[in-house]
Amino acid sequence: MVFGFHYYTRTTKSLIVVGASIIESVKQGEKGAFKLMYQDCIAYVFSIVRRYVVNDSDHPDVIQEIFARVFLSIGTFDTSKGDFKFWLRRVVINQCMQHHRKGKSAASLVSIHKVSEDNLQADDQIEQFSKADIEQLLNQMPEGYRQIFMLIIIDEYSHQEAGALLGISPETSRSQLSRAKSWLRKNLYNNELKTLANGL
Amino acid sequence: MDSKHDRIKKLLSEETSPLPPELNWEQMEAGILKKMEDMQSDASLKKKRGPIREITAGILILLLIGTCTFIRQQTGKGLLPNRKEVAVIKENTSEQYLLPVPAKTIPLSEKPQPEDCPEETVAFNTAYNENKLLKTNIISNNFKQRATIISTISNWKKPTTTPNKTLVEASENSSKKSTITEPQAWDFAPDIQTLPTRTITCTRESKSIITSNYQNPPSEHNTAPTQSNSAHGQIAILSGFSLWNMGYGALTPERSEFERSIPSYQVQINYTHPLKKGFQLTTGLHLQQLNSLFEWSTELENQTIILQDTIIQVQTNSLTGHQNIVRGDIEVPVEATRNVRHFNQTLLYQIPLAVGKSWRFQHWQMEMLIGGAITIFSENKGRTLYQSQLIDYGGVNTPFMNNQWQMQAMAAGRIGYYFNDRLGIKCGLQFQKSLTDWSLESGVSMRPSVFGGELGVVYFME
Repeated sequence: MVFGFHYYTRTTKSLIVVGASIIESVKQGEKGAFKLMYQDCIAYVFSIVRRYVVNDSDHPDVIQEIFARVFLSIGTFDTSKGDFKFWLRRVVINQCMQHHRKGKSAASLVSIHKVSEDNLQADDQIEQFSKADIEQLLNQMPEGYRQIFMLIIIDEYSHQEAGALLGISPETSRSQLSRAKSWLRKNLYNNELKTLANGL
Repeated sequence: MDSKHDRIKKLLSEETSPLPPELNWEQMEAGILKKMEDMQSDASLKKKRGPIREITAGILILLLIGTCTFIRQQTGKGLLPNRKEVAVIKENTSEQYLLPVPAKTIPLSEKPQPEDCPEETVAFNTAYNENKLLKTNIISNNFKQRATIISTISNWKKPTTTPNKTLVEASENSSKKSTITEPQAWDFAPDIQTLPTRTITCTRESKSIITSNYQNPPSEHNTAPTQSNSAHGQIAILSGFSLWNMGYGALTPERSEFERSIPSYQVQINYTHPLKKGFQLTTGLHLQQLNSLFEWSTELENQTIILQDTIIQVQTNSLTGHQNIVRGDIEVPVEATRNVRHFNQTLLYQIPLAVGKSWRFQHWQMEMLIGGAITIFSENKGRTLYQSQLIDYGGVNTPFMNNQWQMQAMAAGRIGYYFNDRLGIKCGLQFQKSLTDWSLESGVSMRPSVFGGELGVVYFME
């Protein structure tokens, strides 16, 4: 029987079980515990990383950095107060942003361009898209849009938090999100047209 | 739109993606451990560099502020702005009419010209020139002399006869009584007593215009600083003496018997940031040298000296009376002591942080400060008697004390005199008491006290 904290994502497929004993062992610097924690968390970490880091070849490097950071700073995590999954997600996202800052310029804001707002009928076909389609679409999204979209829509950051993380103001964050949504609408519509065209 | 986002969110939150084989632990372990080492070394490097960077940044900021202030002072020390003179005039409580034209400064050596005053005063100035009522040479900067003149004039009585125009002759010491003539000086006496302080002003009535002619002209160097400058930051460079007491604890080591403090010096550059209601915050860099004198002596046993070419025998011929002097070297036992006299020197670089309160009385300002100081770097050099052995030491630490990163409580009182809105001098006393133990010996405490005096210049910033 495993005594510890059980963290679940919204879907039951993604169970993260990190025992308190494992956390304590990692705090003590036991390398055996590193492995256990890695195996427990890698799926969750990878799911976040691939959303923020488009280039597949960068994933191993980013994940190494994330786990190095987790193992080094887990002493700051208080098992009695916090949610490990929440804490881990913060570390992962922060590290992904750091990776972007190191690799290129900071979250490149996308220049303002006119995006059609009237393709709302794409919303109706959203159910037709698979996860792979969505991921492919989001991977095509400009860097600045995608980061804001992921942070605010998927990871439920506030504009204040997202702005602080990306080094932009909350107003800029709102503006970027608005454009990201417009971009998504437009491209969902285009994809839908392609789907329809292919079906002809 | 929300439904679309929810759908996307749901899809992306699922962790169903198969893990690539390169992400298994065996392949990642080495990389993770290496990155941990890198991060740790980076963190330790940052930790080491942190204080040095902060201190360097602080010093650079202070230097920058000082340079800016100096440059501003150099570029702006031409003419006094009119606002200063207005500020001075406002201090005057007499019922005088401030001219609508800018006040003009007239050096003492010059007589005021008619154009210095508006039309209504020209008549008086003309009278002044013609009647030679009061000679220019009786005008003095000295308030004592002025008071004497005023007193003299106040005691004047209206003469029964009016001889020709005479002059009020007043010597510099004002001991000589004046002879009174017309125009009637007693008319002016009450007005003289209400003279303004320093600037040329004219009253509406011509007979009281005298006020303007006998005052010191305003100058940049004797204008009282306006109250507004107390709301500005200031930089002070102070230096002075320092004395210290080693503050040994109850278990006094033997060296305390041979060491005593001797006066040394301290230098500090401070930035004072004004807060509300006369309170202020002071920080800076403080270089403090603490000197002590090590005097030690011991008796030396079995010490001898050799007396060379000394008369050791005088041979006298009893028949002839001739004397033959025999010389040689002899060894003589002596009582000897060994005296060791050595200066110990401790140099402390401190960053003080203190809150204070200041009070302003025209040119004077008094301030009291209380706070602390941390020694960021120290350098020791000297000799001491430690466990019955003489030990020479040097560097940051000594075998028996460590004075780096030590905390001191600090209190200071200073008095400043301000020549103008920019420049002043300041002097004061400062006391520091170590809050932490310098001693590295078990059972021996060392909490030195430092007392110092300081004198220096202070610049007000814009």
